[in-house]
Amino acid sequence: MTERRIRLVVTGDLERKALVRSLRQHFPQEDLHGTPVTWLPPRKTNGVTTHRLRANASPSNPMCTLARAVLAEALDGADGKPADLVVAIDDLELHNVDQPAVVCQHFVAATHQELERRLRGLLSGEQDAARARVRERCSFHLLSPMIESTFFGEKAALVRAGCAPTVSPALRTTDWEDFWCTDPSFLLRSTEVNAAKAAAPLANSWWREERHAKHYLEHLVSDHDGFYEETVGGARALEPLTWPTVPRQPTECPLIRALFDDLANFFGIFSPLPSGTPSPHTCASGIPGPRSTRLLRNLP
Amino acid sequence: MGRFTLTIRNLRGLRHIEWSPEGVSALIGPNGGGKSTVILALKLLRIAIDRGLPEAVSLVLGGSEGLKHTDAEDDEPILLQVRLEGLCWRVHLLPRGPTVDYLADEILEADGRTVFRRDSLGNFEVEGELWSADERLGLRAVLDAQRTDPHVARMAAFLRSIAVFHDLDPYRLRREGSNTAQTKHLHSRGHNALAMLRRWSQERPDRWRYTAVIEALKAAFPQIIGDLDFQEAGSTIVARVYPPGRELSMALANESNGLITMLVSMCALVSVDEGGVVAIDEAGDAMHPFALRVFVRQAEQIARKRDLIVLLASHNTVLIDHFNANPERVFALTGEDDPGPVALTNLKNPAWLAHFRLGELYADGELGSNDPAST
Repeated sequence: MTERRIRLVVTGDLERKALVRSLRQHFPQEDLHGTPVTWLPPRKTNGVTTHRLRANASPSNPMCTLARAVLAEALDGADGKPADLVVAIDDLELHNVDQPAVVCQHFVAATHQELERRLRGLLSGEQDAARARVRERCSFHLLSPMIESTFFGEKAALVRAGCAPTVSPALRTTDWEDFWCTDPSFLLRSTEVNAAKAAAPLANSWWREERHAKHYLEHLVSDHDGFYEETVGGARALEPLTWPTVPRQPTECPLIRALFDDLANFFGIFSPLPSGTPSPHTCASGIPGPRSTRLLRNLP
Repeated sequence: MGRFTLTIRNLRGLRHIEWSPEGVSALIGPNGGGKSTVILALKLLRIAIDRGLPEAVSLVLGGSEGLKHTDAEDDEPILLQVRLEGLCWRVHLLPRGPTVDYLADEILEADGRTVFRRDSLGNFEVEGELWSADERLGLRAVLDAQRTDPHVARMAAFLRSIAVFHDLDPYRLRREGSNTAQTKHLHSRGHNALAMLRRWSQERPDRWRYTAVIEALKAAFPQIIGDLDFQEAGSTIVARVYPPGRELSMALANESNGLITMLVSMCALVSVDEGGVVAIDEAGDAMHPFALRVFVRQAEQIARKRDLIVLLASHNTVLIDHFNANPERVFALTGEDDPGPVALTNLKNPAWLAHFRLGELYADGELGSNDPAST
C-alpha cells in the first residue's frame, strides 16, 4: 500500500475549513507500519442535528445524506479511490445535547438504509465485502454541544477567535462538552432567548441559551468590539488548537476522547490526549459482541 | 471535439480556458472565478466581427484596464481563439490607451493551411496576396471583399450566431418598456424584449418564437399569465398581462422580477437562429425554483429542436440540479492551473457523483467553492 487516506465528512464551514489541519498536527505522517497517511480535504454536508431527534423515529433526509456521503467516500471515492478511513463528525447542538445515543441511533438507521439500498442487486460476496469495508473504515463522532466549546479549553484560542486578551469566561465546569455559561452579562440575554424559544410555535422549552458555546463566544468577541465569523476567527482558533490540553480531567470531554481514540487506532498509536474515559456512545471499545457484527468502526 | 472550442489566454482573471460545450451546459465556479469573463469573451467576439476589436473591448469589457491577467509575462499575449471542425481563427488583444490596438496578430487556418494572416505591424497577407490593414478585423475585411472564401464565411457565420445575455434588467423593462424601433436583435440586457415579442407575434415565420415564450410563461406562472398584449405609445411599447379567468388585463410593469426575468430569458433562447450559440450569465436569478425548472426544460427542448448550444452561467443550485443525470454537461472553473472549465465527470468520480444532487455538492463547497477546503 503506497498511502492510506483519511476523509472527514463534516457539517459546518468552520470544520470544513480548519478541522483537518487542527487534527493532523497531533498525528504522525505515517502509520505504525511506515505507510504515509494523507488527509484529504473534508467533504461537507448539511447538519443533521438542527432539530430535535426522536428515539426510534425514521432517520431524516439530512441524516440519510450524511450516511450516503460517508458510504460514497468509503466505497467510491470522489477521485475514484475510496478513502481508508472516513470519519463523519457533527455537533450535537442544543437540540440534542442530552441525547447523543439517539443521534447515533439515527445515524446507524440511516447507514443501514443507505447501505442496503446500495447493495441491492449485488452478489452476496460483493455485499459482504462492502459491509466489511464500511465496518473497517467508517465511523461517526459527535462534538458537544458544538466545536466552539473546545476553544474554551485554551484561552489563546479564544483570543485568536477575536476575544480580548484579558477575556475571562465564566463557566460552571471545565468539561467543555457539558458547556454551561454562568456569566451574568450573557445570562440576561439567555433568559430572554429561552423564554422566546419556549413561546415559539414549535415550543423548544428545553432550549438553554447559556449552553450555546458559539453564541457565548460571539458575545465575548462582541464585548471586544468585534464580530465572530467562524470561517475567519473560528478557523484561526481551531487550526492550531492544542487538543491535548482541552480535557482537564480524565472524566471530561468523552466524545473528543472517542474521536481521538478512533484516529489513533487507525494510525496504530496511543491517543495524543492524556488518558481518560471515552464516550460509551461513540467509542469502539464500548461495543459488546464480536467486531464482525458491527455496522461501523465505532457503532453497532 | 465539440462543435466549437473556445480558447482564452490571459484575459482578465482567466489564465487559460479551453472549452467545447455541447447542448445545454452549465458553467459554475466561485465568485471572481471568471464565469462572466468567459461569457463576455463570447460577446466580445460577436461584437468584434461587426465593429472591430477596439470598440468591442470598450463596449463589452469597459476598456483596457485590467485586461491582461496579472500573472502573464510581457511576452505572453491575450489570446482569443475559436476552433470549428478543420478551421481555427486566432486573434490577440494588444492593450493600447483606453482600449486595444486595431492592429493585432490574427490568423485563420483551414486544415493547417493559412487562409490569411495579419500582424501588429499592419502586414496583412491573404492567400499569398498583400492587403492593406484597416480598423476592421482581418476576418471582416476578407468577408467584405466578397472573395467567397468558404472558410472565412463559415467562421464569420459562427461568430455571428453567438448571442450573449447578461445583467438582465427587469427594472428598466418595467419602467420604460421597449423602443418600438429596435426589433432586429434582442439587446444583451433584454431592453427591447417587448418590441421583439410583438414583432414575433405579428410575423408568421417568427410566430413560433412568441408562442414558445408565452407557453413557457403560462407554465411557469399558471396563476398569473393567460396571455399577453401590447400597447404602443409614441416610440415605446409596453405589455399587459391577461390572467387566466379574469376579464381585465394588468400592466406587465406590475409583475414580479422573476416573471419579467423569465420573459427575457425565454426571449433570449428563441432569439437565436438555428445552429447558434446562446449564453446567459447569472441564469435563473430572481426566478422561483418552479419557474426555473420550466425554463431549463424549455431550454433543453429548444436547443434540441433548433440545434443550439445553450450556456448557462449560474450559482443557482436548482438550475445545477437539472443536470443531476448529466454531470458531463456541468463545467466548473476551478481556479487551478489546468485549462478549464472542467466537466464534473473529469473533476470527480462519476460513480461518486451519482449519489448526490449536484446543487447540493455545489452548495456544500465540494465543487467550485469560493473557499476551497484545505488540508
